[in-house]
Amino acid sequence: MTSILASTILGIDWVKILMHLIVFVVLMTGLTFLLYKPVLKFIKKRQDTIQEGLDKGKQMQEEAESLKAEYDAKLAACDQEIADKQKTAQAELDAYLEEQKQSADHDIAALKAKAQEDIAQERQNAVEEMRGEVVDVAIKLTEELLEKEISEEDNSKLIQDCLSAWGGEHD
Amino acid sequence: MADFHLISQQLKEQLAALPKTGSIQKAGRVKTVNDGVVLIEGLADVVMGELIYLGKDKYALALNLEEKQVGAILLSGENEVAAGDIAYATHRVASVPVGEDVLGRVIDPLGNPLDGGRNIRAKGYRNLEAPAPTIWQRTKVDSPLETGIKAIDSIVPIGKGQRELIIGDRQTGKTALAVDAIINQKGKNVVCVYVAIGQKISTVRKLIDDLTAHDAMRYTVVVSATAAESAPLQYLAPYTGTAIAEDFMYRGKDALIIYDDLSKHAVAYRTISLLLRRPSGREAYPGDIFYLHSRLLERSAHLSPALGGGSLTALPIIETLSGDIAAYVPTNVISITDGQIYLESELFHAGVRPAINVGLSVSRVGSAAQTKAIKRLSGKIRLDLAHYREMQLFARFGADLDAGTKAVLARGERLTESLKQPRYQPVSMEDMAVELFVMTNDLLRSVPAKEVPSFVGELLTYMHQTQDATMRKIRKAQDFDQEDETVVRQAVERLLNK
Amino acid sequence: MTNIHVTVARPLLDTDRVKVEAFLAKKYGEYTVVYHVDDSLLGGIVIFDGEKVYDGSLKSKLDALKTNG
Repeated sequence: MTSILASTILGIDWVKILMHLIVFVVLMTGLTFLLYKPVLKFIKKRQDTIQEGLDKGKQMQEEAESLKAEYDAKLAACDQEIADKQKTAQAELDAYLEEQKQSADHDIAALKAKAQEDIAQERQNAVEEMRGEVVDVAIKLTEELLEKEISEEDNSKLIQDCLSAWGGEHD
Repeated sequence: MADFHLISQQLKEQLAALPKTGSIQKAGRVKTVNDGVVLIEGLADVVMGELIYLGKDKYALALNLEEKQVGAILLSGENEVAAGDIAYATHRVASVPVGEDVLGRVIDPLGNPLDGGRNIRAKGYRNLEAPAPTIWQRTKVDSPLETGIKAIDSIVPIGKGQRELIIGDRQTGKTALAVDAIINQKGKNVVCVYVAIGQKISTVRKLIDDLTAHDAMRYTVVVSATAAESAPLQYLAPYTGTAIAEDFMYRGKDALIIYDDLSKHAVAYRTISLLLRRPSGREAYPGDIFYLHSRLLERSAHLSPALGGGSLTALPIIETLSGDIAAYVPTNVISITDGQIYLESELFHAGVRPAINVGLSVSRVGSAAQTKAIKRLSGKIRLDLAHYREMQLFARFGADLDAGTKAVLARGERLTESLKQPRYQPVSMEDMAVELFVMTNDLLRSVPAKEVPSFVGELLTYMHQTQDATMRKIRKAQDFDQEDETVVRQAVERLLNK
Repeated sequence: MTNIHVTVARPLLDTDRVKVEAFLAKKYGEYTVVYHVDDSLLGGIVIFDGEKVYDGSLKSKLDALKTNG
């Protein structure tokens, strides 16, 4: 036996190699069970964790994006609301201004009419005044003249005329 | 220069048409002149209230007609009429120029200007004495005359066409109420006539200055017969004011007339009657002292649509002595008017201004003269104040009060503070509505009474600044609905939490 | 018995006075008359009989011009 174990076939120690091979296989099997699988498990776990992290990140990004989209939409709506409010305010302002303008126009028209009326009235008054003055002067003149010059004849005639006119009427 | 031609033409025509012989006029002779009363012999055909001409711009009013003589009261020229003067009948009764031109002017009872301006350009003339609108010429009083005074518009509201008496002792704020009412008519298309009877000239001057300062003279006429004027002029003044206001009423407009005051008017008429030797009665007033005021006040009315729908609202003022509203003239006028606003000196001196005694004041037109908003919101206020007055008696005796009574008292105090109002600050309808809502729903429970006015002021400022749309809505719709209530409640909350 | 006041601008001539008295007699029957002179009348005659004034003075005619129209 030992001769087989000690002999070399073709110069290679096949027994030693066989021994080494067996040891190697045993080692490998042991290692596989003791090291390889757990390490693999560990690596897989790590990979999963990383993947989870990546997924979460992706999800959050999606959420953030959808929120942003929402906010953008809201802002747009706000802008629209503001624009609408501005429009109504502007419309109201315009209406108010128009109203004021119309009432101002109305006032102006009324003022014009009154002014014209006033002018006509003033003219009338001026005419009356002038007339009054003319009459006054005429009367004064007459009074002056008469005081000096009414003749007895004229006075008598005046009296007689009055008497006959009055005497002729019913009482 | 066409005018010259016109004038000379006119004169020539006149000269041609002159009667060759003189005129014949009805006349009489002045027998005696005594204390402003002229006794005239003759003038048998003169009518009651006819103007008698005594030469040189002197007129007298014929008031005592007898078979052989006429007793007339001099309107002017007391020192210039002598016995033996000729008195001519004018065949016309006292009248006054009316029309738009009187607005902004101060005139005497005959229409002569007192403000130094030109003569009134009359659209027409109206007799001072005129019949009141008949039964079928009138319609119900249904629209409010907004005085802008919270206590009045909520508790004793005045309608267009109503007569509401303002009665109280001297210096209780009667004229102030009237002036505030005039100021509040700005922009409301109501013509105002203020008749000053027997007042001090300085008082009338101040009043005109006040009205001018608040831009109220534009739509107001002042008829003035101060204490310096003769009794006949003081007697005529209210009728002049009424004729002027009536003219607007019959043209479809709304008018407000204030007689300040009828007590002095009664005294002036008593003077005339005693001088005319008419028999005197209670308190030396003549027998027709009631008729003097009733025929005046009955001319205020709300005309039917057929006549244009115009209105004349009267605010006569009577001054009482020591609060005696049971005296002769006050009781007369109370029975004529459609309600009274009773002002008390005690309230005035206690700081309650306007010093309106809510318990004794009444408006016989009431809520028919209120806008929907005010009507809805002021319903409870009288009741609350009545409760308060009852409880006040207990409080005065310093008795121990239970929580319920204390609450009523506190609430009443807040209400009273809220109804106080300074002069010249009329409150608009929407402001009044907001304040009434807040006070009658007792939203200010946590605010001490003394601070209520300033809080309400802040609230109204806030409302105008941030909720202007609501305020305008209330004014436009004249109503106060749920939406408005919510807005106001929120505003109050916000201010209370500051 | 009517009391009459006659006013003239200057004292009446006798001829005129006669005419006036004739007028008064016809109109009033029994009467008493007082004559006044007032030169502001300028001319003419004014008669007042307690009920009416018959104004025929020049002054009043001139005044009528002033007020009429």
